[in-house]
Amino acid sequence: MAMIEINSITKHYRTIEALKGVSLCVQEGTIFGFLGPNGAGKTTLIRILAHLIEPTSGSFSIDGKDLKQHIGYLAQQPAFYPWMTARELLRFSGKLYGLTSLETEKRIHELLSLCGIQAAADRRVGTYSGGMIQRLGIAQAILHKPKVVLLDEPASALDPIGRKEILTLISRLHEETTVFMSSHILEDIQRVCDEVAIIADGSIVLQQDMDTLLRSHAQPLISLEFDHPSDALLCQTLLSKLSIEVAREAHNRIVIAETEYQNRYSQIMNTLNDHDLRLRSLNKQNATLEDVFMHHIKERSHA
Amino acid sequence: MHNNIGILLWKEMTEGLRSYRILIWVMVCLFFGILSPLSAYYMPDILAMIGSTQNIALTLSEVTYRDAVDQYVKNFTQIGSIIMIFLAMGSVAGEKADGSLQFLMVRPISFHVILFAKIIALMAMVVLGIGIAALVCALYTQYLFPGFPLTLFIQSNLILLLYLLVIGVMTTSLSAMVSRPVTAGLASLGLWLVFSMLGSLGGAGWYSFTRLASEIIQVVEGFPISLKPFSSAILVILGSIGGGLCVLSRWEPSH
Repeated sequence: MAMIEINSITKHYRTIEALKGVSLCVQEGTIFGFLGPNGAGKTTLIRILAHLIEPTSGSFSIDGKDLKQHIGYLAQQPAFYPWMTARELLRFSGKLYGLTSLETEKRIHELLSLCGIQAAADRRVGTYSGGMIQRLGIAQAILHKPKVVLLDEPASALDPIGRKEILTLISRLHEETTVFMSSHILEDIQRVCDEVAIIADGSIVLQQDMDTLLRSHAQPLISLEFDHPSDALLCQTLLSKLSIEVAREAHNRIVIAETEYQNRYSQIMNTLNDHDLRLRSLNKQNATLEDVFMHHIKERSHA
Repeated sequence: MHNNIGILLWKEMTEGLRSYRILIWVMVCLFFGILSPLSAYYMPDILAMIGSTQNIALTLSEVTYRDAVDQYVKNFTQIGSIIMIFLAMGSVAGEKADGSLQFLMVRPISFHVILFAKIIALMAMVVLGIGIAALVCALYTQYLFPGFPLTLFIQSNLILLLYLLVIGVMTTSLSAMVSRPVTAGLASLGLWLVFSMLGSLGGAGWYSFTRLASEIIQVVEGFPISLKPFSSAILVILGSIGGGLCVLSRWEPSH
């Protein structure tokens, strides 16, 4: 069953066309990843869904309606009242959504525990770290059991430990709601999302479930690791001259498509030998969401 | 849509208390309430003391409760107005600037309720402050000056309340129209000065709400009052709220 339906939404800011007829459909109970480079239109679409801004044209519905009651929202840079405690903030939020005192207190108890901020529940929000603010942000977004939770870059400002904790928390959310999260961190999306859409320059490039996407769009890759970064750089230049698409993965590692490697094996090896480039290792690796993303973004920029 | 005005009022009042806004206002009102009659009563002694150090004889006509009330009105309509602008200028613009207004915007609450809750909380703060100031001022003035018309003084405080409400509502509404508290403060200060200059003129000047200050004195003296500045006050309040709601309902966060 479709939980979020977005129909041809556009958004213009004077001369800028931030969204160009975006249409999407998100199924109930999924964790939907909304990927795109900075400035692609991710935050604009999420703000439209959260009723923070009006679309220039087009429409959307959440569970067939357009009600704020059905939505939980966490902003990219969440800002709460610093003079409130977390418990007071959640209580305030519950009352604004029309929950009874009993329901609110029960829910606050559950969520403080789920989000791991029980110990700091009676501390003022102004004293919270970035990770704690983010966890409180998730708690306030799901307090009223919304049908959809909109998370705008929920982990992008956090350190690796904070990121891991938030992603674990998000992965638990699909048991009670549909999650629509944006990110430019591909690893995060790949880790928790069931379905993904890529947006570039205000338009949707593709929408697919994660497994199919990785299977159908991505090709296995061969990673060539050298002793020195200069060798990797030289190899990249030489293979590019042979019209082989090469990506630099690390300072001393490059990757090429497995099919390319197999079809032009002798040519590649001869080039390496001719320039005395010595490989440290050669590995086959599975495609990642990053490969798919880069492929589509490049394709779009060429178009 | 739920009836959220109660919970928003709780938020506004708690914020006012924890940010010391209410405390500052009450202290200012208490100070004006005590200072006005005392400064009027001791003014001849103060002037005589200053004169004796300079070898000048300064004489002042006999001070009465009128001087105390005059001082009280001046304190509130001048310094009090500036403090009111300072306290109200960040009420909406501050939440826009720090991003916390978005917390309310994504919830099932209308802009009307958000703005009205802020105005009602401000009214409560002004009533509390003026109530305390009037009580203290009345006690001191009655003790120090004979013939003080207590009932008329209480009535005159209702006009003072209206004067400060116009400033407060105008500043809060301007705060809803702009993105930075300082812009709201400067705009409100500018408008107040324009109305004050207009009020100092004859004819059309009677339609400036700042003329309410002279109506306060009229009431204490038991003279009839003009309704012209009252009509201006009501128009400024309604116009400000209308403008504030109109702009706020179209506001979109930029960050």
